[in-house]
Amino acid sequence: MNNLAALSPLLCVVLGALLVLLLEVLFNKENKSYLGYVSLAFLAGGAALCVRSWNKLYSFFNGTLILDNLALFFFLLFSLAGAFIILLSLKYISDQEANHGELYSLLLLALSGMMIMVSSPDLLVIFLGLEVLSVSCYALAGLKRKDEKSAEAALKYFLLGSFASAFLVLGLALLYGAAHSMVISGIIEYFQAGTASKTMGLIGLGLVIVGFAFKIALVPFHMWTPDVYEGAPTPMTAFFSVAPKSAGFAVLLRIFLDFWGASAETEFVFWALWVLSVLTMVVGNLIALRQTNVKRILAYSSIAHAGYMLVAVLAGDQSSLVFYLTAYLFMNVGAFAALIGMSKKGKEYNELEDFAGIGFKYPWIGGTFAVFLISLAGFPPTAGFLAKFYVFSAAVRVGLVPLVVIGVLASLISVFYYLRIVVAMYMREPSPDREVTIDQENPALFLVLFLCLYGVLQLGIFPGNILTIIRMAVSFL
Amino acid sequence: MTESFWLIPFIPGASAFVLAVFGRWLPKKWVSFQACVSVFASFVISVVAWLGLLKVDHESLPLVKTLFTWIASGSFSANLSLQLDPLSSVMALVVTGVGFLIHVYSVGYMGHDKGYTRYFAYLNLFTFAMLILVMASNIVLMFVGWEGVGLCSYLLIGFWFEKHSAASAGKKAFIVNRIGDAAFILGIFFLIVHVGTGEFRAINEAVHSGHLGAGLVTLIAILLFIGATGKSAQIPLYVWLPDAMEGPTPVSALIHAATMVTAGVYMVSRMNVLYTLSGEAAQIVAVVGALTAIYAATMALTQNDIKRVLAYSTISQIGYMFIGCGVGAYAAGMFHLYTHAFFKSLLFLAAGSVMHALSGELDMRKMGGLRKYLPLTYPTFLIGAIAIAGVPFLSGFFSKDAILTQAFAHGQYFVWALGIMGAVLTAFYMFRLIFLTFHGEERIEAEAKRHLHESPRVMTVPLVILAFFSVVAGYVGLPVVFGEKANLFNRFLEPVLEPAHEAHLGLGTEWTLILVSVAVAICGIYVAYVFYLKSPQMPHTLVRRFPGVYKLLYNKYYVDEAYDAIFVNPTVKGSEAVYTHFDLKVIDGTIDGTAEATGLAGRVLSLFQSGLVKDYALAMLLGVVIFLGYLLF
Repeated sequence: MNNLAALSPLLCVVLGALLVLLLEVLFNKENKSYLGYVSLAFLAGGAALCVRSWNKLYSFFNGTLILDNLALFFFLLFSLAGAFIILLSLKYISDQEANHGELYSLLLLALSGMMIMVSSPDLLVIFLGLEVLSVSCYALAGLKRKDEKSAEAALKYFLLGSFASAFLVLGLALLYGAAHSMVISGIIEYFQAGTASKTMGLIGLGLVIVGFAFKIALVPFHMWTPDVYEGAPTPMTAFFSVAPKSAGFAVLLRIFLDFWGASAETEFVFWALWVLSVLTMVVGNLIALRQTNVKRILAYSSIAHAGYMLVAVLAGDQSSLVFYLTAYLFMNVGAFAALIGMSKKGKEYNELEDFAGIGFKYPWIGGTFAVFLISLAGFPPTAGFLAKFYVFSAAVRVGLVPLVVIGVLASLISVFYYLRIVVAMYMREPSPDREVTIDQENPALFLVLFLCLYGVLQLGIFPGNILTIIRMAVSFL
Repeated sequence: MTESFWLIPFIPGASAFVLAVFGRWLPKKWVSFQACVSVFASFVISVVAWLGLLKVDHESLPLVKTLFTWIASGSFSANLSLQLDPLSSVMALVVTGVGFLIHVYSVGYMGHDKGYTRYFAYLNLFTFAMLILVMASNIVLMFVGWEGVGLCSYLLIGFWFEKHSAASAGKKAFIVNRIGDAAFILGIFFLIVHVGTGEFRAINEAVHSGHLGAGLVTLIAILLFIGATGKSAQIPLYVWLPDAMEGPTPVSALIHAATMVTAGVYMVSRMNVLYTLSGEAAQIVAVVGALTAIYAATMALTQNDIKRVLAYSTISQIGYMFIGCGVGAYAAGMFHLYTHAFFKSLLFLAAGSVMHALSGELDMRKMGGLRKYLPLTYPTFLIGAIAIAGVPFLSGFFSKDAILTQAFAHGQYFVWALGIMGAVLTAFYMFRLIFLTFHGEERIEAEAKRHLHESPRVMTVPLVILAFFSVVAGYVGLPVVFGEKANLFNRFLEPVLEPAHEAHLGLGTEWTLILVSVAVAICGIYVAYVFYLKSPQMPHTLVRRFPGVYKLLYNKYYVDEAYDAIFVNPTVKGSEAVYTHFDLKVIDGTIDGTAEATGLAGRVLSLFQSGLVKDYALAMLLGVVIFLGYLLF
């Protein structure tokens, strides 16, 4: 029973999901905002329970769920992301013909899946969480039922996602066959011990990596991302670009924590990931150059950022990875919030041309968007700069100089397409035949914009407090 | 209350922020009120903190308040921490006290300007930066203030930026200061590398313990002093200050006379341990100070612009302060800084009042006989002039005499002689200014004469208050002849200054020196009287007799022209050449090429993005095969 009480943050979110589903059926009101508020309340409750468990290190169900500080930190991060997405959805869904209350329920379920992922050392349980997350996400992508693009996004996401899951399960089976364990520490032991051939284990691990690489959109397993991101309702895109990525990286962080340098096999894995990281940074940024749709630009940008984060995994530096994920949450959700702000009833403005002159016409949206883009490009004094700085300096410390050089060059390329949007907003005259008028009656959206702006600047200028918390979070590992 | 001393800089800082962000929605009356009250509040806290400081015993000095860790990088860290000790207390009192009066004066002076709110935002920001400079407990934060006041100075010199001369004067000030700052930063780097921290207390201890070699100390001291020659307008970096008079007159009074330009003197006094240890560096400070004192005074002789005379006079007076620091009498240097703040800001504000009365006229050849039209400005201006000329019983006399006596006592006879000569010139050019402006025949233009009026109360009251202090401020630092303990100012500063190898002179010598000072002051005034009142044709005769000397002085020794020819033009030409040959061709060419290649790569890669699920699945499968293939083989 004591165990269950400690599990309460997770239970709180699941309970919220179920309750929202019931409420929707019972009341079935036209305005779905009340469901959003209920969800927010449950998220807040879950977050409060997380804070209570800080520094306590609970473990239950025979060690298949462990609530260490890292897991709790990610719980909080996810709750924050979830809250932002809910706030962004409140008005969006009724404006853009996606007025379905199950959105909130699905979102909470996805969050609970992610929470399971980050709090288990057992790969099978992690897989369970991943599937909860994925299935919810497939449905969320298709929330605009009457919109072709949205349906296409959902189907593509589902088909390719299942394909990736198949690889993942196959990999798990092979790993279990080889290592006789599903627990991360057991698998690491297997790779470190003995001299017997580990071909089967290596194939298994490779397939598991591929499965996760799909979820966090590493090149060449990224093809689904732009199409899904473009088609899905924009708040959901914001969610996809941030939350599953964080959960995936949290798992990679746990798997590769003590992994490097143990044996010849780990060397192979290392260089394979090295190549993935380079491909992701370079290809993601290069293709983004060609895009003229801001939503697609942000989609490719999110691919490129996964590449930078992978550098941190390779450097074996947990705190810089967690810091990057935190900073990324604020700047990317902020950027998407600004994009969502560029809409009115029944119409979203996503093309680059729509942004001409926006900086002066709608100074708050334009100004905050510019800050988020500058942060994504990695300029001081924003969070994006420090995040990249910590990751790259950690990599230099362990001697990954070529990787860092490639990373810096790749992020140099990225400056072009980020600033292209800023240039459009401030230095282009709006073309007379493209009338852009947006509906600014959206206090929840502005709340998210300002919270993200605060986060980006706080992390960029005074990162001390959050770094202390992150160090506490990773010190338990 | 003393513990809340850290609030002193932040009240004007907050006010500057509010004015900058919300200023355009605030009514003008509120802007004036807020700007003045914020500085006054800081002044009140400064006074309370100073009273509290008198009770604190020397062992627990300085009081330090750390607000938060600002930079932490490896073993180095810098805090945002402020300190209160006698030195910073004196500076804070001067900055907030004089600053408050100048804020009030500005309400009248700038009343009709369209940039009223912007002006007060800058002025408050300046006060904030200056207070950070003087209250920082480490040299890194001090540098923040140092640059902050430089920025505000730039903004305020170029306040009327529509005027080309104002904009370029601002630029000149900024660039010349950059040169000094480059050396200053190097000095800071040396200190941090060898001491490990920028905290003044740690620096003092490290220097005391002999941890730093003598050569290193000299190097650091000289580098820091080069920074001071930029900020405090000494040879060779003084050229920006006369041009800085393009700014509004209250700004000249506050920034370019009373506070910012004396930051170098404060810095040398703050780092007095370095200069006491390094005789060579101290000697350089003294000689540069003495040369500047007389050199700037000669240039002041021939200027016709009332503010420029005062500007050269400021350069010259700061030279005296550096003489004090250079001979090891830091307290005397600080004392002159403190009295100078009153009489020089008084002179500037009074000059501003004259300008105000004459609709902006600056040329003394178009003044004369103003005494009867400006019944309040004239006597206050006169008090300022008497004070700076070194006439006994006014503040300037005590402080200048303290410096010269100390220079003599330390055997620096050459420096002393230059100082005495400078004193004659000072008395002369100040009274030349008085006689040309307020006495003699009226040469006012008819148009200006019609609007001729005394300034409003809001401007004259600060003048009267400053005049009062110009008279009495010196009595806290009486010379030794009035008793060993008569110099309260020195005793107050004792805990922060190196125990100076007190050079004592016999009472007879002291009296002689004082009499010499008095004699030169009176002599200078008398000559000015003869030249400009009794027989006004005399100057012309002199100019005709020595046309070369006059031209040399009138054109300020052609230093601006020389700097242009030696430094400015080659730099501009050289960078133009680099731009056209290297930048446009090599760099731009490379970048354009790279950009095209990158764009092409992007285009090729997007071809794979067909939008068909089967293609995506195939790509994934290929990826898996290659990935696993790599892992296995």
